[in-house]
Amino acid sequence: MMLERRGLRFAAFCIVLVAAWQLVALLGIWPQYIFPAPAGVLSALWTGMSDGTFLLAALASLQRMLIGFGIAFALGFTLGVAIARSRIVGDTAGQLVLGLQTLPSICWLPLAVLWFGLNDAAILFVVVAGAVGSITMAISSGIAHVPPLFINAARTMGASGWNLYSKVIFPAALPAIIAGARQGWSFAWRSLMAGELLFFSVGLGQLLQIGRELNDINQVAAVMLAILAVGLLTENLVFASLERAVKRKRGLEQESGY
Amino acid sequence: MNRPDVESRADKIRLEGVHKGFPMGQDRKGRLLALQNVDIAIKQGEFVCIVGPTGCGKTTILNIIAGLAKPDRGRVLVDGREVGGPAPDRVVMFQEAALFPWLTVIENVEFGLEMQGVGRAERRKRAEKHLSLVRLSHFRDSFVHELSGGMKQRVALARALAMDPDILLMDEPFAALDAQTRDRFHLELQQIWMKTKKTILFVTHNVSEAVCLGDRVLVLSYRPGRIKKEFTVDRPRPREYRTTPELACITAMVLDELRGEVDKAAKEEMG
Ligand SMILES: Nc1ncnc2c1ncn2[C@@H]1O[C@H](COP(=O)(O)OP(=O)(O)OP(=O)(O)O)[C@@H](O)[C@H]1O
Ligand SMILES: [Mg+2]
Repeated sequence: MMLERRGLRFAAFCIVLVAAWQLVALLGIWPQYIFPAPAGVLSALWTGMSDGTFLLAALASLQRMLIGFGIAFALGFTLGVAIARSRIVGDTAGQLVLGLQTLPSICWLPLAVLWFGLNDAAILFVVVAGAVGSITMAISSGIAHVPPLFINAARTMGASGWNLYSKVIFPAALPAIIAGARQGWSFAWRSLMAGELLFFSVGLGQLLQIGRELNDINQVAAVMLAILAVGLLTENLVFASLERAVKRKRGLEQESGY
Repeated sequence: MNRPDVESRADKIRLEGVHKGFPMGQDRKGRLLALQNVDIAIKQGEFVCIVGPTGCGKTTILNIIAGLAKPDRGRVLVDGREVGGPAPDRVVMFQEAALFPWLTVIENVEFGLEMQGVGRAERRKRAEKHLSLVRLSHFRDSFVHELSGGMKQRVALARALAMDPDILLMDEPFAALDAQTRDRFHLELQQIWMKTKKTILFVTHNVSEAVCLGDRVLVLSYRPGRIKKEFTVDRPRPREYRTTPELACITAMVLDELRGEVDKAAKEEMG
């Protein structure tokens, strides 16, 4: 239906784009090492996939992602709840988090290297720093926007303390929590790639850097595609479907049929 | 009043000189006096209805008794003790149903019981019983957004009754039902009340509904809300509006009392 049609339309657009790209490459305006042809990129992609280097790198990156995002989510959740609960925490820590969000996460890297050395811990730090702010903000505003009616109804039925949070406030804020996690995930992914670019431990970012050092523009482009694909896939497979499930259950989807 | 058996009982709910204002206007500096000097005494096991024009403070009174809003002045006593917050002995049926969209119908009905620490099997049993009472057993596993407005109100009624509270605070609970269904629930509610001896405070716009259900009908004045007049309805139960001609007569008297207030409300709201 609707979704499939839009998917098809996008696929057709991509095919046209690749064809145009191939055409421009065939014209030979720029040399091959500056402007790669689709065929070269695809073959680099194929090589990378078949000899397992891409897969290994992607797995290493994803593993870092899971750890970094896990830490960021736990921190952001705790901080977000604290900000929503207490005006004092909101006016202090909340403002700090909001302010620090303007700092691009990669700017934490030099500090992280001085603290942790040239290792995975430094990359993880950058990932956490990149994601924790948006998760915190999404969760605190999600909780602050839970309709008072739900809370009042629950309180007259005897809900209080932890029960009120676990049975009413968190479920009511779930759509906002998922949206925050999704945004946090994409921020974490960007921070991770930036961090990996500067390091020599296995990962997609490192592959990208190796491609540059070898002056292999086909590999550079192929790895970029792989990074894009992994980012899109994880976000859509996990978060978009979670979001859709929650919306469907709560009747938040439009179902006009038109 | 001529009800010695009722008069001798203890007060279940008491409001003494209750004032309540709200901040008003864009700068929230103005003050809207919603309730002024409200005194209400409700006996154990009484069924009392409140009528009044829209915006006169009916919901505010329920919120104050529920412990969801604090009076600016005056005292609120339940069982002789001052109210210090919400408690499950006073369950509210909100005007907007207030069901949880992340739970199924039956899970909504079970919610209060779960908060009371009732075990899973027992609460399922009680929830099923009350869902069948409101004729919604077929919809037990539906989600809230799949229900009509009237069905939501019935689920909210089941949820409140399942908790078996001492006091039921009901805010226009049947407003979204069609006339026949409403008549049926009037009977059902009276039967439950006669069996369980709950204390019920029932808010409605519908004067004939109030007269049909209440031992007493309190008429609230338009802003600031005050108890303007009170009518005692001394007819045997369960009453049916259609078959009890005296009710129409009392309804006319209540409407007369109300007319002036509704006019005032209309004038003020038009500016
Ligand atoms: N939280 C609030 N903040 C500001 N004003 C409020 C608030 N709650 C109620 N009011 C005001 O107090 C007055 C009484 O409101 P209330 O909801 O008690 O009326 P009501 O009698 O229940 O009306 P209705 O029959 O339309 O439900 C209204 O004028 C309303 O604007
Ligand atoms: Mg109201």
